[in-house]
Amino acid sequence: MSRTSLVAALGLAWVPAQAVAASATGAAAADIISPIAVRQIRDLDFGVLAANAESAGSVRIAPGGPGAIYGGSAHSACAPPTPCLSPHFARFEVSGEANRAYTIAAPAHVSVAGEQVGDGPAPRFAPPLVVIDDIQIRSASRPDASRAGWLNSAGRDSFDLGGTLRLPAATPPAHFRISFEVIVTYS
Amino acid sequence: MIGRTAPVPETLRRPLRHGVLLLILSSLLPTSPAPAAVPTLTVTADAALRFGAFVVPSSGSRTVSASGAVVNDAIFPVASAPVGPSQFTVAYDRGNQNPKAIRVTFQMVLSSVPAVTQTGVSGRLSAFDSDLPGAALLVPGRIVTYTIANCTTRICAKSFRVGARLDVTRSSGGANLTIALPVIATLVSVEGG
Repeated sequence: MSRTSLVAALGLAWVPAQAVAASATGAAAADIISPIAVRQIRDLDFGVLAANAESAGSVRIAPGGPGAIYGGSAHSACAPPTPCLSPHFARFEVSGEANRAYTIAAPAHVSVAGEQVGDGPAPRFAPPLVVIDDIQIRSASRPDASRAGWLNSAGRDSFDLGGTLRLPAATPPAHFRISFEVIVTYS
Repeated sequence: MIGRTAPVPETLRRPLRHGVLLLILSSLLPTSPAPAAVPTLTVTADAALRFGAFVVPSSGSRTVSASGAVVNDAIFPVASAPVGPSQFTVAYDRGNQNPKAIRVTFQMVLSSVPAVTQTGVSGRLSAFDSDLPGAALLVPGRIVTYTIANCTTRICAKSFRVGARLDVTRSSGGANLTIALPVIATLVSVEGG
């Protein structure tokens, strides 16, 4: 290669005598969250109920509220030998990652054939269709947020659940049991 | 002296005239260009690889690809946290405003990425990918060569995104996992200019 062509080649391509290097450190980040769990502390209990033969009735239990509010012909049927069960809202305990918000999913309306529990004064009968509607939830951390809560610094919270039971007419005194699912998820 | 301008003494007039002349001459001279800076190569980490927040009952994985696609396996995502690939930029500053087209070739390598363990949670990155042409699959320690062709600007830069798969094993609690992603770029050649 002549001197001229060598100079031309050098002018076209510059290769650093020393390797010119640079570096940067990025990051990969993930927030791994403890699973959230819900545990039932006590049932939603409407007590021992009955409705008149002529008309239906209702019983409302507010979450966190005292006792029951009876409507229509529904009334407490607390008479011996039936044990006198006091109505109360359900309570659930939630545990998971500290300082995290969560939401509560529960049906707004449940319509199932109730299961008669124990022997009442009336002869056993085919349980009527029991409807619970207006299901309301109130968490300890966010009582005004309806179906939402906040896990405290220990990763704990609780919520209460209430609702309104609709009793058909001519429901004999009985204590019913129905089951439905409550699901908590991080929000 | 009142109402009159004081004359400049003759002994001061000549130096003053010379000073004015120099000032005029200097203003007529063409401005010399600013000295060219030394060419530099830089790498910047523009965005972290964000896997977001999720629940892992025992073990699972989340893949966030360079395109932003997300694949979950045995995890439960929590919606609130952002998810996305990391982004790096390699930039060559030629040090002057010369508009001639140059061709910059650099090599890039993703250093090995160790697993991390934190309070009952461990995480390991694998299956790296990128949107850098010719480097769809990134293997830590393996060199990737890239050329920025026909660059006519002072700074010739290439940004690229990196994704990966995060495998998580959890025995207790939760954790904020942070794993370093070291990227090294080496200038191979600059042609033209």
